[in-house]
Amino acid sequence: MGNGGGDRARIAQFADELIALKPDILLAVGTPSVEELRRRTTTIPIVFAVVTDPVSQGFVQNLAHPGGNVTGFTDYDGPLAGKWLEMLTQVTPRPSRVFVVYNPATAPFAPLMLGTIEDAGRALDVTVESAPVHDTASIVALASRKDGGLLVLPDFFTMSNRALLLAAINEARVPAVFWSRTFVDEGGLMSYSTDSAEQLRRAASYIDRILKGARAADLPVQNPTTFELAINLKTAKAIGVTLPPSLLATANEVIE
Amino acid sequence: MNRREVLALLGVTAALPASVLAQTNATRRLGVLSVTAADDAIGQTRSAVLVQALAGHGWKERDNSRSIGQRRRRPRTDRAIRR
Repeated sequence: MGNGGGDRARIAQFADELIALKPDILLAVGTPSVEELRRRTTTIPIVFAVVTDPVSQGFVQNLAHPGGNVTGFTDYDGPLAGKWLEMLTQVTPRPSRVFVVYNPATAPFAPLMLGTIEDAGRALDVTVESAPVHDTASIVALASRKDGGLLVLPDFFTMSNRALLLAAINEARVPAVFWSRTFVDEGGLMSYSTDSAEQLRRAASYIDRILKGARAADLPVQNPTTFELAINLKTAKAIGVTLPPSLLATANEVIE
Repeated sequence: MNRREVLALLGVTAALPASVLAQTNATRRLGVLSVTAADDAIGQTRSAVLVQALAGHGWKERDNSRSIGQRRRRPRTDRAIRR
C-alpha cells in the first residue's frame, strides 16, 4: 500500500478513539474523515464539511434526503471545475495544454472533476491531461512540465504539500490555478474556491439542530453558495504572464 | 524517506477529541475528525471558526473540555496531531 495507506491508518486510529468516547454527534472535515467515521457507526449523527460529491461516494442516498446518519456541506459545485480551466485559458500566453494535479489516493472524487474539466477542455480547445502526484519526487518532477498550465485539484494532499508544489510550479514558470486562496497567498497565480469557514459555520448550525432533536436523515446536504477568486499579480509578473482586466475585475483579492 | 518525513508529506490527521458542549440544561459531546496538517494555519482557523459558530448557537465548550483534549494529546507528540 502506498503512502495514502499509512495516512488512512492514522485517520482510522483517530476514528476508533473518537467513537470509543461515545460522542453525541460527530463532525467530519474532509472526505477521508467521513469514510472512516461512517464505517464505525450507523447511529451517531455525522455532520460533514469540505467534502466532495457525497452521493457518488455513498455517504448519502441523495442530497435532498440523505436518509441515514450522515449529512452536511459540500465544497464542490459542478461548474467550479470548468471555471478553473476557463481561468487558465484567459492567461496570456494562452496554454494549449493543461495538466491536472492530484493524488488519486487522497482524492477519490477526482474522476468526477476530471470529467467536467475534459468537457470544458473540448469546448475551450485545450488538451487536458492527468498529472498524478503521490510523493516528493512526483511533486518535484512537475517543475519540468513547462509545456502547459497546471490545474491543482481540491485534495488535502496538495494542500499539505503546497510549499513543495508551489516551488515546483514557480520553477516551471507556468500558469496555475488552485482550489484554495491559501495557495495564492503563498505565491500561487490564481484560485477560485469555496469558503471553507462558511461551510463550518453552516455545519455548526446543523450540529445545533441535531442536538436539539432534528434527524440527520431529514436535513438536506447543501452545496456551497459563495465563491472567491484570488489573483497574485506579483506571481504573474514573475512568470511573465498577463491576465485580462475582466478577470481582475471579478477577483475578491488581488495581491499586487 | 523516514517516517517523520512521510507524516509531514501526508500532512493530515488532526483529531479534536470529543469536546463537551454545554447549553442551558444540556451537555453534549461533540467529536471532530479533520484532515489538516498539525502546524497548518488552516486547521487552526477552522477550529476557531467552529468554536465561534457553535457559541453563536449557544453551545459553549465547557471549562474542562480543553484540558481533556490536552491530556489526550500529550502521549503523541508528533506533528500530525493537534488539539
